[in-house]
Amino acid sequence: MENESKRSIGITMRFKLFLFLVMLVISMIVGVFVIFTITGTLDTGVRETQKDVEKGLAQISKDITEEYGQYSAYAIEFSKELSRSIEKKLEIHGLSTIDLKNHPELLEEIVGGEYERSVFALQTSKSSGVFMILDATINPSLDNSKNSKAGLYIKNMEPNILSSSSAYLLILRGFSSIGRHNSITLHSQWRMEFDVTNAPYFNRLIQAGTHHDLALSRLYYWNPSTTLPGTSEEIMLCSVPLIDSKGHVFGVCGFEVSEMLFKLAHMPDNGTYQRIFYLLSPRSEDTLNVSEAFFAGGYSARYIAQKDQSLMVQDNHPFSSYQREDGTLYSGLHKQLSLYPEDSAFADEKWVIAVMIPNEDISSAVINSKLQLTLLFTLLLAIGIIISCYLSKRYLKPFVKIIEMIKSNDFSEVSKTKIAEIDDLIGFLSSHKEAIKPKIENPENLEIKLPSAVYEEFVKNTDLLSPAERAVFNLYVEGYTAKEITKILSLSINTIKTHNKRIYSKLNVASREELLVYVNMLKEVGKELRR
Amino acid sequence: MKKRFVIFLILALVLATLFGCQRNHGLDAKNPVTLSLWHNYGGQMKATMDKMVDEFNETVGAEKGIILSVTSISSSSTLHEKLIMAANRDPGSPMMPDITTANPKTAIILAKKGLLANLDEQFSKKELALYVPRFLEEGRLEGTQLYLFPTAKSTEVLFLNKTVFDRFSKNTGARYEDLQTFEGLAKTAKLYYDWTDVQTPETLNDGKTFYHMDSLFNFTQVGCKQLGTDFIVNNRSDYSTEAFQRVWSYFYGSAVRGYFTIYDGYASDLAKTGDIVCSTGSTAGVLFFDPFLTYADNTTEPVELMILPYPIFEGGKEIAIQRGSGMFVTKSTDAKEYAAGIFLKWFTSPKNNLRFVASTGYLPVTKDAFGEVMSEEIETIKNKNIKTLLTTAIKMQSNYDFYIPPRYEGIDVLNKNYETKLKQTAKESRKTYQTLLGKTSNDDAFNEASKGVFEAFTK
Repeated sequence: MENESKRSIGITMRFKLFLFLVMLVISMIVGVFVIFTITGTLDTGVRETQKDVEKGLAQISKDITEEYGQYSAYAIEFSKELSRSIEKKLEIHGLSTIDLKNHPELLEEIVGGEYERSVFALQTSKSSGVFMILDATINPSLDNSKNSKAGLYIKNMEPNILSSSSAYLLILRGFSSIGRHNSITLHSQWRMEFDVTNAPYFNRLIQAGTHHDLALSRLYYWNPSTTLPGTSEEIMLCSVPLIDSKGHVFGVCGFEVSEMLFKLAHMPDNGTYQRIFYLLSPRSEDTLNVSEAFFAGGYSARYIAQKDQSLMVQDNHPFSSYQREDGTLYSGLHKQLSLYPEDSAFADEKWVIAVMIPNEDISSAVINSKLQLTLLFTLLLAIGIIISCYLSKRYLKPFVKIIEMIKSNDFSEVSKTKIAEIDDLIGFLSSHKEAIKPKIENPENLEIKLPSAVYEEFVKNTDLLSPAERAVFNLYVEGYTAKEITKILSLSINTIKTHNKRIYSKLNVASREELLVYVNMLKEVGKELRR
Repeated sequence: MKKRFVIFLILALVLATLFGCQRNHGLDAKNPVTLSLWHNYGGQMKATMDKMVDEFNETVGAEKGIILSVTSISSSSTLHEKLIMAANRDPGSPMMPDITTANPKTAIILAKKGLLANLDEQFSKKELALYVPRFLEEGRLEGTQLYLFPTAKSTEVLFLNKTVFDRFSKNTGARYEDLQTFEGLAKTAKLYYDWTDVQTPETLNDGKTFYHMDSLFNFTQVGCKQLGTDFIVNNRSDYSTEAFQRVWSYFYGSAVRGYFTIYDGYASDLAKTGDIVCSTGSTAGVLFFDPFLTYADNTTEPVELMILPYPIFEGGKEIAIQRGSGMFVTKSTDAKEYAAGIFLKWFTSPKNNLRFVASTGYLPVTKDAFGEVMSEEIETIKNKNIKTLLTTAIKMQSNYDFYIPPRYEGIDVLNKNYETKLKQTAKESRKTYQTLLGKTSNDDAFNEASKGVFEAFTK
């Protein structure tokens, strides 16, 4: 009977509360997620990156335009001074620059005489090299003398270090005597003269210089990254023609910017993307010519071994994509640079500064942040469930206690729970303790007065009992227990139980106690039940 | 019960991830660490070094999360200056790189300032046993800690312009064998001077210099050692020995007379223009010798280079200097130092070391690589000069003893001062000698010019 009552209660209070709390946690998390999605907080990672990249690009674009503009300006000044000086020196010999080709014996003296000016220009411009190439050679009788040009090329191996000494200067091209006289060593890849076979920085300038209508400031040329024949260092050259007062072009001069100098001056911030790099490159239509470009950053998109490499450009949002011939993809942004004024002889040369990141780095960063977020939300959910579990248990502890207490009927151990309703109930129950107790314990002492109609009906119902049932009923009336009755009637307890069931339903009682209540009352009233 | 199990599981997971990180010393392939690298493998060696750096970045570097970024390629002397500047935090100085090539003299100064990582921590005893012991020894500064890791060792040899020498010997009977001793070298130099002087009969005493020493300081140390004494005693130079006087006079005598050069640069400089015929210098300089020389009229002549073992003083022992640089790692974070260790291991692994050696002329640093070089591998080396060089170096390796200069902080200054003083002294004497030449015999002129000079020098 007790088992039945327990089964019919269903879900525990605690479990129900636990479920409610978990639902609360879930709805909160979902709410946060929705808010994040609406406000775009989830995409912040990518958007911030794009903003940073854009900013970085704008900054470096400005820096390079300024810096290279400066180099160009210095080169133009150097050309003016140099041409004036050389023209004057030739005048002393009664010659003009046109005669230079035919007087190779003067070359060493003329070039050597410009050493100081060249070093000064080199140091002022803070570039990594200064050069001058005259349209003449010291030995016209040699093979290939057509492409061999006398001149001077001084490199500064450490342009970032201010040094009054010439400790970092090397002669890359020029008469060895110049080095010996000025205590400068020859570069390990030194040659005496320039080989201009494949030298736009000489040939194009000699040609362009014949345009008499253009000022010198419209005639400078930035040679894309290359290595001088027999050398290993990637350099860009800013070249200006040497023009005498009569408009005759007799050579070129200018400054060098090495890739190392570019790299050191413009290192990208690789806090977010470690493989981010800058690319300064000539552009032709939709390709960037990597072989003629400068890189700055710990990573380079150029394979050392291959020549003629280019990147295909595809404009996109938020990042453009750049594809190498072997399929490797980069994402980034680029901006057109104006290295030349509009009316320059070389205004058609398009240059671009780009910032790029290998594609897989961006996608992995995005996946990472999504994964991170998912993990955090899951963690939050797990913590929420654990807390719900704990809270539900804690909250219901006093209720469980009071129920146990009621069942045990012992109010002496009760401590105030400080929960209003419970304390109130405890108070109520302990004051009515005596009222309830006896009624439950002793059915025989019941003094309930039932209306006579109820008695009549009870008695009437006893006529409905079958003989077997009657036998059992009579024994109950005499005060026997169910066990005793099994012995007297030689029946199994199950049979007795079945009879009980039928008796109760016929007599309209719920239990044996109730039955006996009726019987005893009737006894007292004097009714005879035994038949 | 179930709850406790879940908590335990979560804790276990967290701890496991933490320990996983520890094993990698904080290296993460998704978040690579960038190491800045300075080196002196420029010029003809640059292509090889560039390729190796790129290869590392694309293989081991990508796998473990390391990016090598080269931020300076300069000569070893320039690197030395830059590193001292950076260590002293001079105004306008560059930032210290994470890894750099360096000589012991540079490393000792920085080690004393506590700026270098102890590389013993990155290599197990077993790993270190693979390297040639005396190379490791040279990198143990400040007592016993390994601060300078051997990556590119060298010794000194005799470089000879065979083309010019053959022409010269045909006319004078000079022989290669004479160049085995210093005395023989001096005799040959005189012969050459006289031979070239005669070719310009209008001018007297304009004979050409025959020989240049890249490092007078090294020569003095090794010369004394060959003759059984030390030049540097208790961190100071010892001028008192007979051996020193012999070594000093040897150079002074020929320099004043114009047979040897008095020049501040490297021999390869002079070799390019045919101003010398032979020189002694580091094996690392082999690539700096052009396959042709350029005369004043821009005509060029192809040059065949011959590489002979370092000369010995007559009666002296076969001793040559151990030179070359290593790489050191600046003290920084655990992750960076660990990453640097990984690169050093990769760079000096026998296969990579041999590749580097075959295109630069440096000596192998692992016992394995030395062994392989001795076998047929040497035949596969494309660069003729490097092949010749390595053959000679291997021969010296088995016959010579190697002298390791003392490593202490002041040695760099001692070096500079000694060389400056000696060259200055020789220059002045030479000037005096040249002025006296027209008036008296050569010997008298020399005696006059050199009177009291040695005493003044050693005071």
